[in-house]
Amino acid sequence: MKFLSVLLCIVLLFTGCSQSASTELSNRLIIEAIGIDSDESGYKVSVLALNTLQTGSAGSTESPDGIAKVFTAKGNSIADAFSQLDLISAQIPLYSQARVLIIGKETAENQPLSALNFFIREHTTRDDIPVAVAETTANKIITADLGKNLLVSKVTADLLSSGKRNGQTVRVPLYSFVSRLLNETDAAYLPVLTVEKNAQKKDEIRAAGIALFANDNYTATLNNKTMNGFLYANNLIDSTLLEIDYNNKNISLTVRKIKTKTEINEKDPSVFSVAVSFSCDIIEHNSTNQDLNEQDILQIKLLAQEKIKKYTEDFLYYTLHDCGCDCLGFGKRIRNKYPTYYEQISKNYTSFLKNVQTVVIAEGAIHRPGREVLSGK
Amino acid sequence: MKNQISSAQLFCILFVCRLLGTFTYMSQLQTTLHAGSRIVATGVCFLFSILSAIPVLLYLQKQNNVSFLNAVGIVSEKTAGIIGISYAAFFLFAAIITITRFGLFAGTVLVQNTGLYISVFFLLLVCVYCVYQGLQPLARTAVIFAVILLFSLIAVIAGTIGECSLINIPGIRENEIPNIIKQAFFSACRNIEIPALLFIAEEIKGKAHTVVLKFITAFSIISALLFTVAGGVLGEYGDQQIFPLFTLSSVAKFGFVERMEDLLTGIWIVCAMLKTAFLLYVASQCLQKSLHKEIKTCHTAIGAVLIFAGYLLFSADIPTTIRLLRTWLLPAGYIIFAILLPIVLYLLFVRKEKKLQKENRI
Amino acid sequence: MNTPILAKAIDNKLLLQQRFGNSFDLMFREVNCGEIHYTAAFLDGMCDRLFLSQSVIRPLSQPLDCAPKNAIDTLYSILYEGIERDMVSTMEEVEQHLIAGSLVFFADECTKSVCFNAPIFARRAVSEPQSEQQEKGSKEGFTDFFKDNVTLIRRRLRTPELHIERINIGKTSNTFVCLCYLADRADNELVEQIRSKLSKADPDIVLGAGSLRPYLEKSSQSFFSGIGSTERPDTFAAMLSEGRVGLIIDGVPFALFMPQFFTDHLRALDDYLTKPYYAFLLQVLRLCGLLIATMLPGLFVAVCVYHPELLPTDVMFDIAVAISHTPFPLFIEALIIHFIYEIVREAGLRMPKSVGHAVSIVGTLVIGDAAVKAGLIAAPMLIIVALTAISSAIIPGIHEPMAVLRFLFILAGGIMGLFGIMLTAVAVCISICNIVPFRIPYVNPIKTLKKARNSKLL
Repeated sequence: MKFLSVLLCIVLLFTGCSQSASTELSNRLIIEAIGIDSDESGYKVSVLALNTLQTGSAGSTESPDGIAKVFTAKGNSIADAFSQLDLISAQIPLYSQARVLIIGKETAENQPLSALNFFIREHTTRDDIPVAVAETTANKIITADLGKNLLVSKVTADLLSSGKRNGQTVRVPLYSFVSRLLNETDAAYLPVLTVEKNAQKKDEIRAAGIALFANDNYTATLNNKTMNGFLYANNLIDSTLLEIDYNNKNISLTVRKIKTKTEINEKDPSVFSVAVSFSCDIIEHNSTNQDLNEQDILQIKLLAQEKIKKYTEDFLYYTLHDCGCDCLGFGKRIRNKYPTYYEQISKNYTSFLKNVQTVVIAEGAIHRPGREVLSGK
Repeated sequence: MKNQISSAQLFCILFVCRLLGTFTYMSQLQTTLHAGSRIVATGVCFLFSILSAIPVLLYLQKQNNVSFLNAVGIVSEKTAGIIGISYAAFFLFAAIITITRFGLFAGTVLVQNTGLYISVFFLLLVCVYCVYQGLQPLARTAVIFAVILLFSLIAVIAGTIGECSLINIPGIRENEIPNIIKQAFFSACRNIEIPALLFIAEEIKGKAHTVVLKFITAFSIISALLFTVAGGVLGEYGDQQIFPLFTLSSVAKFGFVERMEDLLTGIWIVCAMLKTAFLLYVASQCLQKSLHKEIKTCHTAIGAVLIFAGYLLFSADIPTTIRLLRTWLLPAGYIIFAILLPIVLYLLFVRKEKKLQKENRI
Repeated sequence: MNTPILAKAIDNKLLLQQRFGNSFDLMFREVNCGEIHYTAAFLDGMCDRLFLSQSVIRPLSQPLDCAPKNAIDTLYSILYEGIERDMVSTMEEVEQHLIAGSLVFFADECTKSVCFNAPIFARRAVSEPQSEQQEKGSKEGFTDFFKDNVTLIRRRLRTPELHIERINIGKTSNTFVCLCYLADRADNELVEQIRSKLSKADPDIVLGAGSLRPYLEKSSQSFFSGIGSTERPDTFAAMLSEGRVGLIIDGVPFALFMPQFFTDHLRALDDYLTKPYYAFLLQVLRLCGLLIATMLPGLFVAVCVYHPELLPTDVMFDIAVAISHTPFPLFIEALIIHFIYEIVREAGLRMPKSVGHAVSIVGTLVIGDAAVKAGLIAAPMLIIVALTAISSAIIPGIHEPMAVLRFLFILAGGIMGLFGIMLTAVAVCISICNIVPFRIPYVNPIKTLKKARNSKLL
């Protein structure tokens, strides 16, 4: 028993003595954000990494280089570029902490799936890392100077997550994007980001629409008008602001509890109904003279319904007829319910989309109208 | 009787062992199936499992608490030894497949800095230790980890059900039916725990056949649920992953708890260890009753050495590993050892019983 | 071997002197009662001389009217008020009574002797138990004298069903060991099993509770023990009331009880004095404390070295910065710092109280503060050690296995990461599940021993 224990201990101790043994945390390059751009020779990778090898005493976290550093590397492939990164930084890259993956516009326009192949295969990368497209280059966003102690990765990740409550952008995890790209009929989408200078001459990262991809090709960008409809129709927002014009006065509504149901017509599979239900609160009424009564509330509700319906219809028309993008999963619904019909249309799906008809219904309710209604005026 | 386990403990062992196969499910290993077909294949597998378990269930019902080899010995002493060694070889082969499959999983997603051979060596060492302690401690440990496993499954499902969209799961097409049946058949043939019950029948307190039915039902329901959620969340992305359920666990999150796949992998390591220990235990029971006295004392060590040797052989390169995992030897072995042999011996035993009854009457 | 008492008192005296090797405390007195002449022997310091001189010697100042051969019988019959006495017929019994603090009388022509028991020796008063603190429970703890301990138990279990059997164990020490059980609750098989094991036990001396463990337990190679010990009479009484069997050992302020289950470590008597919801919370806390104390250092090393993706980014960054300044790898650092902690803990146990403060200051300042500032160890590791130390104090009863397992987990985590941790966890689990003290599984959660035997789950 004693002999076995000693033997075990010796074996245990020697197992750690190989070169490929454990990697200390301080020897890892903790990557916070990744940017992929296309280059003449292949790809250019920009990473924002935390600066763990700080100068100064053990207890201090201040460093002249700041809390994070940007590294850039080029290579024939993304894997090649990352291996160059290993040489530049003298640390082993750790992809698991990356908060955002940004693809440059040129890369996005040129088969983005091949650019993402490295991240699909690399097991340490988070499968739900948010992906975005840069309006110009990813490097510009990664190297943006936001100010002291503001990390591009955190700001970008927060910006993408905020889309759910402000309806200005959307957070798309890697697995969702790839899944839609691989699907025969679905259109994939990614938020578009841009860098602008603010009044204090500091860089600011802003949302600039939503990019659509069909058949692994960059197809179109949704701007404000069509983007609203896209977000409503896809259940991608929890709440957003809606401004309507009533009696030449501006009424601001917060639209919440948005639920969209898409159904295929039983008799004609090329007809879909999109029903958007919502609830809203009147948060601002720019009028000092006129209080709102019950009739006004009803009219406001109807106007809100009209507006949301218009947004959705515009979005659907643009994406289906102009871009040939199926953003609502029509193809999947036909595939699940009418597989034979699906076999026929899938051969020329884009032209089928142009003939798809959609019936949009928007139904809402105003839950918090304001004190005027309660007082009976 | 000493060293007996209860039916609840038996259920937990079977459950933990079998679920390992689900966790390390590899899409496109046997056939290429989409999410919807995978779910249907699980349902068909449930039927195949019940049908293929009937011979063993019949034996257990008839010969409760009598080990299979003892029963065979009553019919024919000479064949008992040969049958014992054959079954031992089958269980050891199944253990090699389990370890190799798990080694592939660990090598793909865990990336141990220490070599996988060393990790497998220590895993087998712990398995040998477990087997030497007997079936009872193994069963009790399985109960503890079954509870933890259940909570982890609930966590994965709860953390991903919000993202699940059933339109991502395509329906089955006619041309997929042969693949579905093939996948279901291969999955059913991986229920090695069922023929293993023949050799631990005397160590089970209570009715083993009801436990088997409950176990097959529970395992099928949970597998179907996991595949449904995986298909609904990951869609076509899941088909790109070698281990889609592992990817599902990496996506699961609620609140601030994220990246649960490493923690869950820890639990799956335990499942692999318990399954290997269980198969090694059963194999060593077969060897113990069939081999000569001199070799009896180290039957467990012999079994572990054979498993390790098998692992080294089949994990030399990926094509060899895939060939092993796709082999028809395991389903063929299952048909012989779980269906044919129990039926034949059951019928022989019934014939002998009738003969004895006739002789008693005379 | 039974040596008979000799017919001449002088011979008995010589025999005793030979047996005790002319020990200075073996004393003899000659007592004359008229025609009858007695020789009294006693061990100075072991018997109450004042009580004996008043109760035994003074009444013998009157002459006795009896034949010399009836001298002992007469003495036995006349002196019966307020004193415990025994009639013995062998020298071995005489020796036992002398050691127990008796005054032994010999007479010529008598082959028997009478022993008057009046033991008195310096002993500790009942005080608060040092190793087991309770918030709402009794403040009485066991002492070193077994009779006082028996009294403490009798006061708590005022029932004739409380049976206490006295056994002598130890070839040299002949220590009194009391087997205690409630006859209406304890399983007869269990009692018989323990009785038989005690009868087969043949240690040389019994100086502590641990001396009897190897004879009572089947396997001493396991980390955990199926035999528990307690310093508290209320806890001991509670164990007896659950149908367990206990042992009170003379000279030891700890009593043993068996069987002990794993869940006993997670319970305290205070739990029964509070509301169930709070008691449940406390049990969960203790379980968490146990897991933290055993597995946290190993998990920390495994996660930081092999699975950093489990850490939130901010925490990872702080740890990475902290450990970038230290000379040792995290694995070695963990081993060193835990080893130093064990040294400090052991020193704290053994050192005299007068230097306690100095050592505490050295431990805190040097190891805690200066080492971190000098960059020898990282602050996160120190936090882990502190958390581990505090958590291990929640369950002091299993400090030994926790300390050893902690090192095992650090080794496993440092060499093989989470894989090693889980393998070690399973091996430990199997080891715990394998313990079956007195035919009841150690991991059984069920309280009543009868239900525990029939349990189907564990």
